[in-house]
Amino acid sequence: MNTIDTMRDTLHNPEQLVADWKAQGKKIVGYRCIYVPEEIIWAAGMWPYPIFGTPEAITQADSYFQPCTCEFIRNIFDHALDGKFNFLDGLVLCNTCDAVRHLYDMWITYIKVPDCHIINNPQKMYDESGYKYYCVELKRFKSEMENLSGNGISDESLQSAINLHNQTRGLLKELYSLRKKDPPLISGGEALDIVMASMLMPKDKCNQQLQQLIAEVKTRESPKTRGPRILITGSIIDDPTLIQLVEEVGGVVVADDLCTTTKYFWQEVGQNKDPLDALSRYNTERCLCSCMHPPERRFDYLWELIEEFGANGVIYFNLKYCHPFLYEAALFREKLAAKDIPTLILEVDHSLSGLGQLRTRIQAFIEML
Amino acid sequence: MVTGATAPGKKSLQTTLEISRAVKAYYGGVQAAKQEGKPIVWSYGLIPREIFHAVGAPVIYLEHLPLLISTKQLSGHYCEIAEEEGFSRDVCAFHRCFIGCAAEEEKHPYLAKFWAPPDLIVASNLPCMSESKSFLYAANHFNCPYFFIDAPINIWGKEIPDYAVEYYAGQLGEALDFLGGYGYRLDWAKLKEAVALSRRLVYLWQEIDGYRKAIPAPMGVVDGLTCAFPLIQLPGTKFGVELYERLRDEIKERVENKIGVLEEEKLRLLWMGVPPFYNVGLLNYPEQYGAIVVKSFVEYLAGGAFDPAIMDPEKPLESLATKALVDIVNPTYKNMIDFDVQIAKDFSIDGQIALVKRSCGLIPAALRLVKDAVYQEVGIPTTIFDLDGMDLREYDDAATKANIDAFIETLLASKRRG
Amino acid sequence: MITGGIDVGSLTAKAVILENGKILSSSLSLTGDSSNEAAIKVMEEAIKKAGLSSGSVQYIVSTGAGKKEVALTSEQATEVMCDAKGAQLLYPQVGGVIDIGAESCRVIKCDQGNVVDFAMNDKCAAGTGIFLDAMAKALEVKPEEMGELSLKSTQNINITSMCAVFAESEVVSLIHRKVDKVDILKGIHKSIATRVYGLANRIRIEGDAVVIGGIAKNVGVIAFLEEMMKRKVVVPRDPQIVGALGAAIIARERVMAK
Repeated sequence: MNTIDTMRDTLHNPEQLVADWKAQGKKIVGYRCIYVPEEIIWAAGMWPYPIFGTPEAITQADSYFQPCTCEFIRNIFDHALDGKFNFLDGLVLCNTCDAVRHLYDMWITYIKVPDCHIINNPQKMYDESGYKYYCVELKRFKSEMENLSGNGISDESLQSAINLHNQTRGLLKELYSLRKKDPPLISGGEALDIVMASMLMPKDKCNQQLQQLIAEVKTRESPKTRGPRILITGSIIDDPTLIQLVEEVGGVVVADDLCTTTKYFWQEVGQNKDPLDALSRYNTERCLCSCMHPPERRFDYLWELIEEFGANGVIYFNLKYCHPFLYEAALFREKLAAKDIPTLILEVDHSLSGLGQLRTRIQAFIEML
Repeated sequence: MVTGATAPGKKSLQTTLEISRAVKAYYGGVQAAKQEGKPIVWSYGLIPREIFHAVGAPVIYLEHLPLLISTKQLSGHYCEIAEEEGFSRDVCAFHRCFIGCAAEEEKHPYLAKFWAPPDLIVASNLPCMSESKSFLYAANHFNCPYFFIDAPINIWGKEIPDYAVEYYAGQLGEALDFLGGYGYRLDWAKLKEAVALSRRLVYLWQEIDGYRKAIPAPMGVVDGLTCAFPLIQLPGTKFGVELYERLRDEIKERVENKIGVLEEEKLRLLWMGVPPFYNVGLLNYPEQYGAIVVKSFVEYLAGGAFDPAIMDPEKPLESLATKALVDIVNPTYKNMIDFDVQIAKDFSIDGQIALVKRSCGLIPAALRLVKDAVYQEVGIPTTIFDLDGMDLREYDDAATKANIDAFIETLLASKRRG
Repeated sequence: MITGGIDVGSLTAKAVILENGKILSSSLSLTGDSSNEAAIKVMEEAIKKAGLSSGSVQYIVSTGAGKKEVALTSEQATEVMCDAKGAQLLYPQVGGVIDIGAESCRVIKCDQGNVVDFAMNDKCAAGTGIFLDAMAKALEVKPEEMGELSLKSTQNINITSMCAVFAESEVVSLIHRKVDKVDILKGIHKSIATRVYGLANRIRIEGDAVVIGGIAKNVGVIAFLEEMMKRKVVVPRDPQIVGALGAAIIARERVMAK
């Protein structure tokens, strides 16, 4: 099996990895979303395990949440009700959006196991007072993780964790640079799987595999088909079907601005003699998610990606009921149009219903480009 | 689509009428300021109003203007305009209405009575993500500068730690600097006075609340909605205090003379969620069964539910910050649930009507928590059904009334059993 | 003591005559244009079937969408109460009632015959009988045969639209793609069951779940609902008269209270 298949397999069947980790007497801490500083969890000797959903219809969660809430969160809750997260020793959420905040309250009331923690991060990025506030908040989170793991977190272990995770970020960025070619050497669907697998795996293992993967991809033959170069953005996408849909109708997905892809690794944690401080800086200067301010920075970052990867068009997959992205969509489309980049905004269900209609609209957009 | 008649609410109090006039006068004041060339502020989110009053800034609040529009059945019209601008039908109807008001080229004559376009915007993410984002449309459309206030969510309950209060207080200070740059200079004495007045206002509101617990209820939710205006929009003003002194006196007299909205109360109900502002008459509907809607949740926003003793005029920004952060609508929901349970007990509530506004990201998802808590601790049921309090196109009168009828019938049957 | 209950629904009107807690007779008829006339007709039929004279019914209570127009009685009760009362007489241990009618769907949680919780879905026709009728026409099958046919499918066609309007266009496109009728029917029936299940989920029924209303006779909807609920449901022999039965029971309670 080549590396990409190995990584995909780990992503879809992590049970063995989990069992091996637990056999060493170590703990696993689930988290959602990318503003949770993984390094702190890792430095405490625990595995930071990202929570992803599955494209299924909602069942039991609807007797708790109203159906008009984010389907991704309800899907997670369904899994939680089924006991799928019982193997975790803790769950960490953060202050992203209304739905995640609801998940916190629902979890501590109805799920209870594992314990749910929440980081109260600021939503205003690049703000000095926000950074000062976050430093205190992160210290609190650090001691919570120390309590949970039973291990102290020294500056050395934290710095070492940062270095390891930065290495992952660097490798992913290197891999992504291979998408700048025309046509790119990896497809959009593959990219999503690779990044999600990298997010999931303990980083020491992950970095080895990424190095192998990069070497393998470099030897790939350039694909024959060309097509309009598309950048995908939007709310959380944790399944490649939508991206593959774009590629099936002739689009070439060269870049993606998603929290399951680029947002995860695009910036690295800076060097600082106080590693906790470095993490505070990092997390208050990454203005990537639509939930965060200022939106001007987010647009600049999006534009940077469009230019670097030479995208001709943008497809904005907005999850139904995802309010922050819904408000931003119309605004961004206008701004991108002013720069001659057409945008297609699509409302999608996390359970991936209505694919037929989506395909038609995407096809029309691709043909137009 | 609107199916069925809509009706304005039936009010019982004199002071309510006074407050209605005060509302109109408020907007008159804003328009007059515009005429004089003063910069108009648009405020999004539950930002402590006291700061605006302290610097004399004329403000239009997103939380309030759509309410007025809605009472004249215009919310659907404005939501449509917002949808044409590219905003999904799944975003909050309050925000769609406000965006529509902004986007409409020639203002409808009713809107024109309250309308003043913004020169500045101050926005916040308290309590929800719609507040956090929708202002960008207006900022873009009117090409006006904005200041965003970041409010930490409340993960602590009743006691907010200093570092969070400091952060938010700092944000308020920066907002004041921002306003200062447009001529609204801060006078610390005025700010301290605003905090003192705000504290007095909340004390009065809670005194009034105390009287509302009487049986028969001297005041129902229809009056309550209008009477919440000073609490939510006028804290920090002398005028707000005066209005509540009058309200308190009127309520006190009614209680002393046992004058209630309903002579015979068979059921006392609590209303959770946004009431239909295009059909406030729905809140009187249960009265035909002897059921009175005694209290609604929205009347406690912006300070109705906290201990005013923690406000210290000598520490104005910290006081305002604490008041905002412990607010029952600041997620996470511990304070909101505790509060809902408390009012169910204090007001001798028999049943709770809870609404799901499909486009709301805030309360609806939390309704199960409230329903279960209230049932477990007070033993009363909650009926949950769909109703968009702002977008009248979503309103189904027959279905709504069928739900209320069935709920009241089951409550009465339960009471008969003892 | 003889009491009567009338349930005037949007499509059908039902009447039940109760004597000392036992069903004497029941009758069903189309509602048509006039709720009042349908009520009169259906009550007369029930009286005839019971072998009684028209004066022998002591008290009547009406329910259903047209209850307010029924001149035979001035007392009305909501469908929620009537469904619960009726189901409890037939199944004393009933924990929940799922009523799937022509235009509306409601779910009721009961505890010893008392309504503890309920949820309604009156707006969207997707979960109900009118949708099924429209689909029967589109597929050119008899409505009463749809359920059985849907169970014959071995494929897994999904109708993803929850809204009746979009679902219909999905079905039309499936017909054009020459998808087998039974497969489309399965998709339609699963879609209805999903919607009903979603509603039932909101109130978490414990104990026996009784399904009533016209659609309860559809074996396809019942089968898929049981699959989703992961348990068996109970369908009375005559699921459409349970509301009218409940109304007759309430009429009896009123007489006894006087």
